[in-house]
Amino acid sequence: MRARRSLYLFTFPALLVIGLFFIHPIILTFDMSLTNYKGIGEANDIGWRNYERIVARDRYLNEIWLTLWYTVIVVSALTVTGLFFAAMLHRLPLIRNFSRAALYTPAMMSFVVVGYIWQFLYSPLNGGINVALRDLGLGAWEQNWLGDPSIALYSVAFAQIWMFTGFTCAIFLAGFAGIPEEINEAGRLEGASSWQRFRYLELPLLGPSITVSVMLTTIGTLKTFELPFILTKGGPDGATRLLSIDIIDNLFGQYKFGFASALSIVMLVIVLAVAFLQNKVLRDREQA
Amino acid sequence: MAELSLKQAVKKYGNVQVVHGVDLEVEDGDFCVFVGPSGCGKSTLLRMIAGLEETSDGRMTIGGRDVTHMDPAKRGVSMVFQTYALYPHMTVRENMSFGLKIGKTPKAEIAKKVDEAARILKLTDYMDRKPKALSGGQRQRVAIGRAIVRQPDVFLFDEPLSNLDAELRVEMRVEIAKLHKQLGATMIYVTHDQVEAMTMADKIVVLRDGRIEQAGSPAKLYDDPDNLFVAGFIGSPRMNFFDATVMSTDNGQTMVSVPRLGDAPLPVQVTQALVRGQQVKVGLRPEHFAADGAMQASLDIDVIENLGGVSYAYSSFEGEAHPVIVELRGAARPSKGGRLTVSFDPSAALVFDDDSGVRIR
Repeated sequence: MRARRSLYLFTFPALLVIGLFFIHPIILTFDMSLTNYKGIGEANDIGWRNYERIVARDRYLNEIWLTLWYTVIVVSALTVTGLFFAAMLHRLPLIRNFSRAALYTPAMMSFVVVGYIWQFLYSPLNGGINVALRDLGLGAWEQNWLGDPSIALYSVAFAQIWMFTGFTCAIFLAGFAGIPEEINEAGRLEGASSWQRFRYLELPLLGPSITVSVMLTTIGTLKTFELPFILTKGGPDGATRLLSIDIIDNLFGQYKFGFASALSIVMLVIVLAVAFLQNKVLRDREQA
Repeated sequence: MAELSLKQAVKKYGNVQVVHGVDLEVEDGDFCVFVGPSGCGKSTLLRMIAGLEETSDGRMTIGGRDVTHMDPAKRGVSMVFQTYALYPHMTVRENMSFGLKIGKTPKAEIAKKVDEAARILKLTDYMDRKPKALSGGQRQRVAIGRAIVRQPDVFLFDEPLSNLDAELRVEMRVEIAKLHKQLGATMIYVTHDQVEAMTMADKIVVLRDGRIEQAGSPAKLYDDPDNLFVAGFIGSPRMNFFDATVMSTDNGQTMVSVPRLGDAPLPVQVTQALVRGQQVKVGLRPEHFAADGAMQASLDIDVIENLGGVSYAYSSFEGEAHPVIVELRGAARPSKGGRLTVSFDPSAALVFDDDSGVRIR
């Protein structure tokens, strides 16, 4: 009995913090999402009308699909590039620590700095990428990287992938470190090539790292706002208008507090649903 | 199956040399055990043979083929690791067939080889289980099975029993010995447990600080050690060593005085010329103390360990690193410490140089 009481006593502060700073704001947001509050004046209860508007208009559904597509691109690329660099560095112990730090550096930079750097690189006239292409005699490949609606999303995604590859690489390197060296040696003695050891021995054993990496990058990318906002502000022609950008636009651009809250709740539900689904699928795969 | 030969094999890590010019011949079908204390280089030497460690200098052949710098997979060796190194995400069958599958062996042949190995190792009922659902002994058998299916020229075992409990270790020891007989394969086995070495080996190689101290049959190493280290390492309980002084070498009979065993001069069997007054070490194994020995000594016994059929009496003396151990047999064994008169046969005593530790024959 005493043990149970002290159990509650010790968990109470943590529960209090979670309740106060996590659950309570969500309840408040949900409450506001059922109003037409505009920052000043009264908040009138309008029922589910904000949600009906989200579901009824193509614009918001397209934004949800765009956010999901952007997440698929970024998470897939981050997983593949992170795995690639981690597998390489795992086999090159001499440069491993230096390279890991170097790869992680972009993730430590501010989004504003990264956004500024890539804005310069993507600049259509004298941007680093177009100049480099021109100098290499590949002038035909020059693009208006952030101005062309058909490639803007991919350009923004590329900057985000560049920024966070070091992060996933660090997760996978930790995963590699957890695989006993004897497993690899047994594979070598059995004649498995470096690729075969990666494919048949290391990759399956990296399951838990893949789960962690995919979960974290998915949640982070679904909520991402900074890079698209700094690079394109959702343009051109809505090509990079992710859900998060519309939330900010409604909130601080149009002061539609109620509607922005409804969009935030939709985003929270999407993040939770995707995270839950992913966790289930990936954990099941690990157990198999 | 094939013989293994090492000629002046050297391993260096940067400027640090850990294996110093090892020469070794292992006959085809031999069970050779590398034994020695921790850090003596036995595992490094095994890994050099496997190709998991690059050989810095010297030459290594398996079945006459120079494998010194050959890829591990092409050497014709299979290795059983201390930690088993089973692939945790694969079933027993997949673990055993992985190497063959990688080598593009036809499926029917893989199935035949794996089933045969499973039958030999009594693993047939566990083929669809993953390693985590197996006991330590079963995992060890899977690791051995994985080695068998590749039909290597040489099997390498790196302390394969050290993760098992005492009872299972004895069981697996017998199983590996049986397997050796059944397969007739050349096996190299690393252990720090000299009981394993004595019971399993055709040939024991005693290593210390990256050098071979002595190589030979278990009986040869036990009865006729080349130096103090081998004499002390082989045998359990260890050999007793006594400080002694040469008293006389008249008429080809060398007499030494061993103060710890009383005042009577001890005749020792050596043919090498010794100088009167020379300091030597005399070695006597615990079982060389017997009821009907020609000489007698009186010892203060601190502790007696009764193991059932045999007892060991321990006699400590100030300044001595190790107590003198006496083996006692028979019904009239004392059960408590105190003054004990024991007799021994002086012809069993071995003599070693006090400085170099080399055996004086």
